[in-house]
Amino acid sequence: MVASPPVTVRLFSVLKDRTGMAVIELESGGVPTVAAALTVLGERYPVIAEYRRWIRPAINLSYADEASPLSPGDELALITPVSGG
Amino acid sequence: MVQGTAMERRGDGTWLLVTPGPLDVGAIEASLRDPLAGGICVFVGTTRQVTGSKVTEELRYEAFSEMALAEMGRLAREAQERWPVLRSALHHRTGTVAVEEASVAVGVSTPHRSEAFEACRFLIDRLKEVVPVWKKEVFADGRTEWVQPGR
Repeated sequence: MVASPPVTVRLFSVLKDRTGMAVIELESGGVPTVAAALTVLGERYPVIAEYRRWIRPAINLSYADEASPLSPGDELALITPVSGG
Repeated sequence: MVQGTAMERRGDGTWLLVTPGPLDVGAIEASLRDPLAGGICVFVGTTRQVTGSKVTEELRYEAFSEMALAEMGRLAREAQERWPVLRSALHHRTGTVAVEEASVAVGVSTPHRSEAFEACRFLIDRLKEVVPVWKKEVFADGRTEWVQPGR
């Protein structure tokens, strides 16, 4: 059986600083939705659980929400409150 | 082009840029000139030294560049739908931005001035809400802090 490509999770700003990770790969079979991915990530990195209510997820460069489905090969970005400008 | 720069120039007169290099406000203003324009409005956001009792040494910006470009492009299109925007530019700097230097510049040209002010205001206000860029304050006393509105 050929393994499905993983879901690639990207972290920035405070989440990158506090996890020490910029990219995390998740086996796509275990994370059918953004919510499932956030739960898996939150168990591994408590700061992600702590920030969950403020995270705006984005899939493949577009904002999504916790109910959005994830497909193999998707890129999931965890966008904490932005402060550009 | 400075390494680490993400840029897009669209056929509809939109110029998007995320760059670690300094912003060129003169080049932005020049890019907005158009024979049908009666006005150009450019907003330039700069690093402020004093906020209340805090003294800022510099700001450090991090961007999710590919998505920042995509979001800025969506905002430009939204502005075109709401106002008669002829040309627009949205530029954001990344990395360290010293006091007085520009971190962001957005501009539009339109046939008349009121719509130029309105569209420009819309672009900078929405940019600060949705474009995935984060700033870290570096204070004069050496402390640092990510700015996280609403957190």
